[in-house]
Amino acid sequence: MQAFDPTALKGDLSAARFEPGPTEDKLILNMGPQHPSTHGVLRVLLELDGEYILRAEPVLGYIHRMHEWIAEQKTYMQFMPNMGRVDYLHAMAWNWAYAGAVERLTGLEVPLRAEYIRVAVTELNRISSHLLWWGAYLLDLGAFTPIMYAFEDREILLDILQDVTGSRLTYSYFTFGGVYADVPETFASRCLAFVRRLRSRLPMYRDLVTDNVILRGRCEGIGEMDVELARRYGATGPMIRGSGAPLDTRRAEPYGIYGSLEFRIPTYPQGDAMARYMVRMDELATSLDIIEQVVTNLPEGPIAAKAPKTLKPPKGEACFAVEGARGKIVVHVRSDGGPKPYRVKLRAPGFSNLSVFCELAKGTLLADAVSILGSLDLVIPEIDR
Amino acid sequence: MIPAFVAKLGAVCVAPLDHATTGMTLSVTVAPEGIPAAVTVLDQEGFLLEDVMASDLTEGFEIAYHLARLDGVSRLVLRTTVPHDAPSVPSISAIYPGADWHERECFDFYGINFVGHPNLHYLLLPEDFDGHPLVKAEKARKSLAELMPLSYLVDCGLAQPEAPKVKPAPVRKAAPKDA
Repeated sequence: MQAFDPTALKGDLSAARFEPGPTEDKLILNMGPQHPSTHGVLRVLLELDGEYILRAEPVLGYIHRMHEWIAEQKTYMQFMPNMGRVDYLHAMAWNWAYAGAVERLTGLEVPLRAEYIRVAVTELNRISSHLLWWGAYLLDLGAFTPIMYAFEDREILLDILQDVTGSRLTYSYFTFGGVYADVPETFASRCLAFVRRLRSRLPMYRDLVTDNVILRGRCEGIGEMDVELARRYGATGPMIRGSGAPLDTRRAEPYGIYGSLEFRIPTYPQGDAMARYMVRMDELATSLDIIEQVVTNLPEGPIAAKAPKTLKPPKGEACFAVEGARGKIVVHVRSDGGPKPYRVKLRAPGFSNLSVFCELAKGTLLADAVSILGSLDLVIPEIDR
Repeated sequence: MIPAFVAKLGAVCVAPLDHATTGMTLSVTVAPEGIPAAVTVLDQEGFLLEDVMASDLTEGFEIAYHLARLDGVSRLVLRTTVPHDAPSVPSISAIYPGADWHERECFDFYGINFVGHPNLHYLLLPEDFDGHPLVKAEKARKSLAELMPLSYLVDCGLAQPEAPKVKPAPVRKAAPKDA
């Protein structure tokens, strides 16, 4: 066997290491990093036999920003704005995971009104994330119109959240012990109006898109995954719920006031792309139920606990798990008692969800791989961090 | 309180943690060569591997595997420490295929060698990058005693429990012997 010399081959090291297998007539294809169906800058190396995928390997790191290093250079509060940039589609969940970990470390009690506001904004944000996924996924599959409907609804959400937080996408709304600002007086009524609106539109989405025979053909039986595979790869969120396991951090490890709220955890046993699609569509309704419960019972009171400006948590370590739109987010924080964290670790659900792709794509058609990638709901900045 | 399978993990130290204040329920420390055997037991117990987190301490690189069950509140952290000059630990990517990328990420940031890993190259960093960004300067490193709460240190035999404050017993003079 010859010694491996990477300079003798064309392409970068990732491509050079992706050596062709033993079969003849195969093709090595780079899908991305600028492919429209990879939603950002994901690159997938594929070994193809005709149109069939023999092997797939995602290549990461195109928008790696080293958030974990930045965390060690800044004070606890100065790192908060980074959380909105990790996953720009569900920034609130990341805000919550980081704030929650630091609160656990410091022993801060969050006032009840802040807990309610946190749930309301996180669920509004979850809906906006799912709506964007829905539009973009269908765009991948060749259906152009649904994203127009999705963005029409999403625009209302962004307006509501802009009035609350001041920003439209990369929110940095949580503080240690509560939230930054109180919600405006019209918040509850606007939320309820949105709940009514989306509830009336969900049946239309079902008739227009979900029951479409072409969509079913592209999704049913594609990328099948059972609970065992999800567990071994650490796939969480709609991925594992689409395989039939009712694993939802809001129920399994209740945080905030989720323990006292009533909501259903949608699961589908099929494990294919359609099941993951259905889980997310049902979760839109679930989030609407939660928002309705929260904004109609919004208690009066303070919106944040008293905390020193420069927080110095006692030495120790703590983590906080949150159910993000893509799965289980965990932020670990270690403190040495100083004003800066000693170590911050971000567990991104998309990272583990994408690692299953090499398993799911094996033996499928290239066009189906696009459908599988879309059904993973990837947000590359979260995976690359 | 401590589940029965913990006896099979070959633990050097078992420390129960309070979920309300740490988010974790149990910390188990094992020797680096005991990692695959311990992880195999946890796999059979139905745990899901959440992530692999390394930290740079005075004692060496601490590698923490976070595992959670699919039901109920449980987060077990399996720890091991490898020296700075020879940071190698057996890979668990054959047991949990999802650990593949987590281990590569630890290699990126700390240069830890996961022995038996099929593809240990930079995952997130550019291929021409030199070094490992999260390795701390010698002076900036902190020891376990400076990073962990006292209860954990006591459970692991790294510190003595604080002596409970009691009033010193009044010193009695020895009674003169009857002659």
